[in-house]
Amino acid sequence: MSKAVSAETHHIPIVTFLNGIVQRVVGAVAWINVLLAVLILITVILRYGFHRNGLFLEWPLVPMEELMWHFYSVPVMFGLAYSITTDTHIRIDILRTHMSNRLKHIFEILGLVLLLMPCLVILLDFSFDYAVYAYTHNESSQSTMGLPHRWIVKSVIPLSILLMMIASMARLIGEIVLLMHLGKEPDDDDIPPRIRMTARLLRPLLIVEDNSHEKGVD
Amino acid sequence: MELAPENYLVIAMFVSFIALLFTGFPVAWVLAGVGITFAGIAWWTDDMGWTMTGLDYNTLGLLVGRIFGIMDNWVLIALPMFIFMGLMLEKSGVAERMMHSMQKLFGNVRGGLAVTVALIGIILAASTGIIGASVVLLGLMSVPVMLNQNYDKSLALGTVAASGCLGILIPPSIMLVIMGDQLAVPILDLFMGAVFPGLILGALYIAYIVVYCKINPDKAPLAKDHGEIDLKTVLQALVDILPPAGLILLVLGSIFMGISTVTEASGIGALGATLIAVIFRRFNWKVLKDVVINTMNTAAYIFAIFVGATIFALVLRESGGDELIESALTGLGFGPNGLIIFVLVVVFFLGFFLDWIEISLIILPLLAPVISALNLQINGFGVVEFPNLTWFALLVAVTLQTSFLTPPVGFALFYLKGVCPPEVKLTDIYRGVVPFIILQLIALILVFIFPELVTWLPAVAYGNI
Repeated sequence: MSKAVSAETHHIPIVTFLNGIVQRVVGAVAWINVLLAVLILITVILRYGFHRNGLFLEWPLVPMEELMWHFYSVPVMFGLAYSITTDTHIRIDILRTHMSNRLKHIFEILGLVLLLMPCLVILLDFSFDYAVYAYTHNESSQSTMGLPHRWIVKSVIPLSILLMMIASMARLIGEIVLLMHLGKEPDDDDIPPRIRMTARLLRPLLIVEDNSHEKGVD
Repeated sequence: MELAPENYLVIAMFVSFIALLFTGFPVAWVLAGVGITFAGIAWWTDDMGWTMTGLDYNTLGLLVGRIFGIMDNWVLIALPMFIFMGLMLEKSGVAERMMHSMQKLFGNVRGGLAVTVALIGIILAASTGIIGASVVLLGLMSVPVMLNQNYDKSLALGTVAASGCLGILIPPSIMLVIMGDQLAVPILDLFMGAVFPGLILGALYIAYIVVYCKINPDKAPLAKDHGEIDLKTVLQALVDILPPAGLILLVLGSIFMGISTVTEASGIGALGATLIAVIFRRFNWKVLKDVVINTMNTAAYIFAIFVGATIFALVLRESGGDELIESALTGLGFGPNGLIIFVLVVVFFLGFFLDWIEISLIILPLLAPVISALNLQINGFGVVEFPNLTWFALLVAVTLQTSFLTPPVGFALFYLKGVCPPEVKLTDIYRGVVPFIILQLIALILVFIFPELVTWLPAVAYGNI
């Protein structure tokens, strides 16, 4: 199948560079999900393996359970920016697949400038204060045995919004460049990136196992 | 009904949201952008003295706290963990193994291949809950095989699309996690309530395939190389079903018997799926990395709609949207059952162009107070905490099954089209899903008439029967 129309594949240096930053940072943060699974396992073992010493375990269990939602929320917040670079946010594709490339780029530019970017600016403004407030007031968990330094997880919000700004800036530049070079881009294969991502994840398996049948894709 | 000036803002907000969706800009950012824009508009119309919403720039400051509220959420931890479990299990090759051995097992049955797909759909459904992934996997795996065997295109595609969607209903399902969070209903109850509706749907699909193939044998030819079924084939099929089935029993069993919470079970499920991948020698660094990155990406695009919906809902609520919808619904003059039917019809039609995520995040919270206030008399056997809402959530969940299949925007259709050989047209898929949509409506009517299908299992688990 042919190439996709995404700024990523056109090697516009500045776009590749900005996306690279986001993807490297978030790609590393994503591994926290593995830590989360392991943390859950440890909690379960502690709780059910040593449940007789319930009181004694109060101390490690409370902070560990708080750590769990820290571990869930950080990759998910940072992932918002990653999904912009991979263009995998959910879209209603029905009309879009029939639009000319020119119209697609124009809608994308308008959407980024009028819908997404104003939100990011406003959210950055408030969330920065939110994190600073947590730091200056030395906020910590409401539970006495909970985690201190709430500002660390609260500053995840402005940081992830900053990353989203970088990612959406990269998309904006890419879309503008593509709009100016209409007709010089590879053909669109009409498969939304979100679907292509899942297909790419699940495809290699078949080549290994399924020798007896013809491949339907590629 | 007399409309206040603020009501026009609310209506305009909904209309612009729907209209902008069709530009193809990401749903999450349309929600967020429309929310922020209308906060600005309301601020201005307040200023002009036309409305009294009280919205201004500082109101938007509440948003950060709301976003933190989604982060600081014990329930939603299960979201990335169930996604991880599903993707890892699909990477582990269990589906191909099942496909391979069950294909042999049903080799002598007309439509055996389609039945195999439906069965794998049901088993995978219990393990994933990411509709895209199930449809893609089933599509990649079975569509070429079925077309090779000269199956009727529509039958093949309809089976794949419908079976792939079961994941979102059969527990553990991330949709039910999100619904439970939004409605403040125990997720445990929703999981248990979904078991029978999910199995009924699966059974209806299989019954339909078998009957259809009996009537139209030419639409589903037998494989050329089909052989006799011996004990070895049966045993092989059992061995191949065992790992995913065992994992599901472990995860669901420990939740249902009250041994572990949903969150704990999701983490254990993620590790269990990894263990299966290791046993099947599919586990390596690259697989783990792929799963980790895709888990993050998938969780993020669902979470993005959480963020967008939070912004949209805040502005909607501040402009009096909640009361408008509540008074509009109660002002219709329907009885309790009439109102439920009306809401389900609305959800059915919204499903033509909205996804389950938006419906669960925007529409459900608006409806929850109206539904709770209804005098429904749903039999909760005295132990189900919110029988009305649990039943209602499951009705919506079954209705949403149709939303994945209904053109023009059915998400399963697009995923399936994306991975099918190019000769498959979107219209083939449309034609194929029609009978399955009818089956889904039959299941919906059954759940509507017999609420015990939902409430019986939780009641048994809570030990009151």
